[in-house]
Amino acid sequence: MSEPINIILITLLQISLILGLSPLINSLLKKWKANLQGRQGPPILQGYYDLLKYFRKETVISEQASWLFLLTPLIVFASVCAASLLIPTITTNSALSSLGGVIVFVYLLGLGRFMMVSAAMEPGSGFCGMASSREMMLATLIEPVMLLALFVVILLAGSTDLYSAQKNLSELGLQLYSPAYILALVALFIASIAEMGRVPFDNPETHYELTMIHEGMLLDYSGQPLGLMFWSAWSKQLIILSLLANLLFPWGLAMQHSPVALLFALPLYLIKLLIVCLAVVLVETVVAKMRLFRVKDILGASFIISIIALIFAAQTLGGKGGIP
Amino acid sequence: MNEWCFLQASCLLLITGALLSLCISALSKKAGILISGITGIFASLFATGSGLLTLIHQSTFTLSIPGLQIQGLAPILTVDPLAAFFILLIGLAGLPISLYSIGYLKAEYLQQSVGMMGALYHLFILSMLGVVMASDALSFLIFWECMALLSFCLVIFDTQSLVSQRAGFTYLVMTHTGTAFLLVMYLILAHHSGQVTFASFMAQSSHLTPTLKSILFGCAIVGFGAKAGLIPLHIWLPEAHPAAPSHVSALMSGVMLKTAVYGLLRYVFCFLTPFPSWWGVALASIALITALLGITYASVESDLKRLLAYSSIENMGVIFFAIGLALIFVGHQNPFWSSVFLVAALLHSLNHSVFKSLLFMAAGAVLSTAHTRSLENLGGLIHKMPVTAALFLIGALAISALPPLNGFLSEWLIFQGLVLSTHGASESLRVFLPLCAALLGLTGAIVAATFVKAFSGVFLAMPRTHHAEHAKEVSHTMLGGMAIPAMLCLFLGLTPAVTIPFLNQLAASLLGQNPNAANWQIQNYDTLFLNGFAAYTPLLLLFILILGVGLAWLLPRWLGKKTSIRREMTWSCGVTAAPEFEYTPAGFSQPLEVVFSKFHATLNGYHEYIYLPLVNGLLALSRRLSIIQVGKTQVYLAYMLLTLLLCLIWIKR
Repeated sequence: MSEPINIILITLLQISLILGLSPLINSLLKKWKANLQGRQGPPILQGYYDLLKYFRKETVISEQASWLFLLTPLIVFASVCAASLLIPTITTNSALSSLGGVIVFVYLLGLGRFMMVSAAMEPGSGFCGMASSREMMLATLIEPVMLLALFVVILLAGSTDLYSAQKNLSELGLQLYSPAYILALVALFIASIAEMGRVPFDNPETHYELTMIHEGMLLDYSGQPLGLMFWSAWSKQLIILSLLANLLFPWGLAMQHSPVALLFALPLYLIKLLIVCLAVVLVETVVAKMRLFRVKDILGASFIISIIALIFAAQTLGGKGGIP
Repeated sequence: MNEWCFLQASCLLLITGALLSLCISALSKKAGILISGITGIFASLFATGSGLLTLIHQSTFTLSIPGLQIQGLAPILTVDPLAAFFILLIGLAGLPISLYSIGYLKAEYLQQSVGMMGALYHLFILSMLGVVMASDALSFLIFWECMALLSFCLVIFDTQSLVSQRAGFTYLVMTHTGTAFLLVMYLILAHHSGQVTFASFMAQSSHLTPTLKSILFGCAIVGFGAKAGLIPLHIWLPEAHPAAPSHVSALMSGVMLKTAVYGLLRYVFCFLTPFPSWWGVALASIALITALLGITYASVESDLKRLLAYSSIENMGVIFFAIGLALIFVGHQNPFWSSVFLVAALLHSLNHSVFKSLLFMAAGAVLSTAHTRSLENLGGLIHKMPVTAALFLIGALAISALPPLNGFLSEWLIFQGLVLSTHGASESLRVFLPLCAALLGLTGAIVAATFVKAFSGVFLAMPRTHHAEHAKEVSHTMLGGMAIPAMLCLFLGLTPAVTIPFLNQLAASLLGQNPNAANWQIQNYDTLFLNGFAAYTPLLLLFILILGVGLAWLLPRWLGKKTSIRREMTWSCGVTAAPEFEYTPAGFSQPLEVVFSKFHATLNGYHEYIYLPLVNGLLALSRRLSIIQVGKTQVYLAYMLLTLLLCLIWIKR
């Protein structure tokens, strides 16, 4: 295969993997959680049915809404698509490694959030405003934690783009699990649960006033824009889960673009993903939803953990060269 | 020597503009505003051209004004690449602001003496050009003082308003405190070199003792920090910037603050080398605390222009932070990272001047039509002013450092540097740098929350008062003035391949090192590589985002069907939706206030714990000293005689 076609194919594969798999993973999380709670749960394909349903429904929007309200789902979706290109899923041989590294990744999620929170203020509904305000409060704590935890990864891996980092991590063997790395993963896990809008920070299944964060912001959306918003949120969830999965077990990704290697990498990726999903579901089942202003304590704690991890990482690697 | 001709043309145009503005406004105010705006536009264009050409050619040119030779104290004006960069900055901000001022003054200030305003405005720009061109201590201080006084006059231009006058007074006191420290520092330098020219200071730099240098550095931090608004010297900034007319606020926040950056760079890198690395640690710490506190204050502010002023404090903090990091690595003799951080500081100066002038102009547009700056009283303006709203959104996204706009680029550089430079750094730095990264990350996240609040408070939801209800879109000149920096936000964000090499060369010349020390590589026209690591390709990112938007538009239509859009009232639990049900801006930032309550608690502490005791102490001291003030001429003559005698004894000694 020639190089440009290769790049386009891998890019398409990455985007379609994330977009295609995300409704399934979300339904799976719901199903498992229900099973653990002794309920039947929705069918595993419910996510796809929901999306198709939203895409056929009429769009009803607020009288107060402007161009921004309809533009936002598109930008949020685009930012998630772009972010999906920055994280490794089944291959370490990235097509677009020069697109940007972890900082671009974190700030792309920030771009989506900025637009979503702004748009949720548009209908002038008290509930949406409440959700926006809470989301922004959480974001001020989540964003630095994700950034710092990923900094630990790039320091240990000696590369700022996650693809090469992935490759370097896999070469480290079991030495990989240094204290700095484990602390960073703990911080990243806490921040990820918050970023995905799951218990104990938020509850993706309700939009009652007390738990209203992410779902609250979507209250005034309907039809196709709502479908897009859900799809973006699920895809973001899958992106973060993949990131966690591949950082936790950085082995088994395809090192080159041969179809055989990719075929072998896919089931491994799915298994890793399911393990992380299980962890998330277990947390959701065991831990109760927290009161809003207690959330800051645990996120603050993860912030401190990530700082400690970064200092550890800097100390352990200080003497060694590599990066000038 | 095109660049020199351009600069002369720019200065002459500014002087002519000032005079024309005064004369023509006496006849017709509207014509005066128009002429003043046009001369401002052309003067800025020439300044931009001159700055750009000097940067491209890396040339240096000097002019001594022949008529002004006073006993060897000839004012010398020199333009080198560093000065040229700041001339470019003044020009780039001055151009759209002058265009904007035409519409803005017509809308807001027709009742007042616009001729005087135009004259002050031109002279203010001229004085800033003078500050960066001055090449001896005396003319630097004169221009610096002119700049302070002219901006003071512009701040108190609303003479009826008591608030403006108070703000102006605070500004005057603080800026003179700063100037006093600068004066001391130049006097010490002049004493040691025997001359006042910058060239002689430079020659002298290696002969100063380390202690004296550190004292000089302290003076510089206070002197330039007072102008830049470093906490706790910032108290004038949130008062004075909002009080000034909006186009002047844009100029003050966008450009005037940068003269402090210029001053510090010139001073530290030219007159005080070599220096120890703890200077950098001190500066970076102060600056980072400034950034974090500045943005937490901004996040709970409900006055739009004050919010922007606090955010300027934050951005100046970030710029000084990057300079501090550069100082650290110069001290450690690491040419690579020192130049990377210096490039980041310069780039962020440029970026901030672009998006902050845009945001202040947009705030002025809102003020001119809704007649209120309070976020609580605005709302819903996106329907009345769609273009202004879109432009403000671009500014807000840029200042929140979101890709692919320009603010992200400088933030990206600083973060990359912070993390990667820990490799091979000394042990204490390996603790210091991660801590800095953490605080900077926190700062960045609060910026986004602040600007979501500002944007949604002004433009979204329903109008909360009749002020907002009767707003209209502003005139074309104002929109044009705002559109230029908005386009620059995108342009600068997308073209690191164009800007970085220039800034790298500038940083290298400032550090006195080979421009190839920082190993930048530009690949495929737009991909920025930093020493083989850390690639970023903004154009590709924009392309992917556009494709993503296209995909988001197509997929639902392809998977579902084409549907209609119906508009209904917002659901409010069965009651008719009303502005009272909205989440207000104050409500929006309340959770943040709870989370960062410890930081917010310091907001009013500066007056109470620093400035009041200081002022009271000064007053008490002057009361003590007033004993010698008896009011009799004979006694004063006796003092003089005594002083004379003492001086004679001291000289003869």
